Amino acid sequence: MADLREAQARLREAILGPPGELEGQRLGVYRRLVRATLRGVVRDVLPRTAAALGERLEVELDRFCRERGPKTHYLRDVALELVEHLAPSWRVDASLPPHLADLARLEALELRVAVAGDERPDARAELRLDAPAVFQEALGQASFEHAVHEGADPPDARPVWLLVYRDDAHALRALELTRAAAEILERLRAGTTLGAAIEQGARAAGVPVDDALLAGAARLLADLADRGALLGAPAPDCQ
Amino acid sequence: MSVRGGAPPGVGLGLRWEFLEELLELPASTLPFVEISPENYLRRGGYYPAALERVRERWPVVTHGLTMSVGGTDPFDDAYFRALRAQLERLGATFHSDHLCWSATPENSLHDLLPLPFTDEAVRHVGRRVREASDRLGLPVALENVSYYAPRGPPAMSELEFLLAVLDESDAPLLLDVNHLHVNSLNHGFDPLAFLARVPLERVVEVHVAGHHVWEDGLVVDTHGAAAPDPVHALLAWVVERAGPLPVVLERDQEIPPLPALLDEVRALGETYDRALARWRARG
Ligand SMILES: [Fe+2]
Repeated sequence: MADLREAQARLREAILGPPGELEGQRLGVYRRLVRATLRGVVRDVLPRTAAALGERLEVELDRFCRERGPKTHYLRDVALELVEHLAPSWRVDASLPPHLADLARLEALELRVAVAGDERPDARAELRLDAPAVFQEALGQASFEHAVHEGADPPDARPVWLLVYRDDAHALRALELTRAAAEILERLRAGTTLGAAIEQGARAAGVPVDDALLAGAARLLADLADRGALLGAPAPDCQ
Repeated sequence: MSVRGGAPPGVGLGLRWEFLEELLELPASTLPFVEISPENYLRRGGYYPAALERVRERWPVVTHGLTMSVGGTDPFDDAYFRALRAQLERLGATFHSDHLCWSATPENSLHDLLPLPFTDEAVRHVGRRVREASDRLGLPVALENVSYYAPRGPPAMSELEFLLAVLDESDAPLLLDVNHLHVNSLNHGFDPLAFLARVPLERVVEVHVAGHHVWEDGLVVDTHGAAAPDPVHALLAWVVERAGPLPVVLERDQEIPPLPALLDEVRALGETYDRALARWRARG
């Protein structure tokens, strides 16, 4: 098996590496086919990112292949690996659109939410200040420096906090949050009790815990419960 | 190992997301069955697994994997096999299939069907791996012949000898892709009928048909991006005339036409299939 292993390691390197070694050789077909597959998945799963990259997509695919290459069994998830690997450098690359990294991160978040499990954790209890909250699985949040969820091209440069979830008909929904709401939800989703999440979230956002904030938080939580995104507090026997 | 009867005979279609909703509008009589790639539905929730349930209500589902990497040298991925086994059990599968190739190293999953050398070492290795995969899944794993573009190392044996040796060593059923056979016969210059004449047809549990492209340097590339051409119909007919009723899958992965055009192709293949089956019956 040693020969087999060595031959496969060599072909892997040649497929993912610079064209030199396979140029003009029949094995170069595989280099081309692998890139065509990766290009296809980026265009399918990250269509706006692919459009914003334009011809630069090829350069970035090459870099992804050279520096890391796909690792996951699931082709769709190659898009997540690619964003994770490339977006940090896109953010600081002046030759690329300034909103590109945000766009890629939003499309990656949408994919994660779209494919998240269907499990609905047990949450039979009412929300209380001294208990954490339970959310549906298909939900995520992130902050951006551009309003990439609005569809304008180019998007406005302004700080944005988004919650993305999947509704009962499997459609993705995005909610724009205030900074304070985002900070509170982030803590609540991480398992902090509601009362502590409000207090810590408000502090992180630099706003006072006053009647307006409490009323706003109550409205947001009621809205999320209506949408089926927030399920309640853990069932009593799970606490 | 025989798993005939695992899917209804006749010409079915590889399910693709591009036409999933449209297909679900059509009556069950449109197709005898559909084929899915479990990787597209594993470890995910939401729309696609829900749509697969709707598909199952209407058609028998046959599974055809993409990333097992039967010829790979790193250990099998436990999580993948667990998820796949659960999926196959849910679907009531009687066999599963994947490709006679490798696609992953310990570092990377390359998402392509990469060629194995035609050597005794590879035969023994694949034999072990197929037996392990079948054990892990609790089902026979059929192997599909793939197209290959470059011989790997000095040819110790031909593709046909390699395939026969692997079938012997692994006891695996065969998923015979007649487009891959056609593409290989063009690229490597051999007679596909002479090849077929030596394939143990009783081991064939399913047939794949598809089309291909010719690249600028004359290489024929198995893109699944065009209608199956006449020679592929002819190879399908040759097999059915001798093997009898079989599940046949039309695969289309690129430049997918509107569903009605794809179903026209399924019908055309169905006519080829029916004529061949009539000749099989006449042979008694
Ligand atoms: Fe095939």
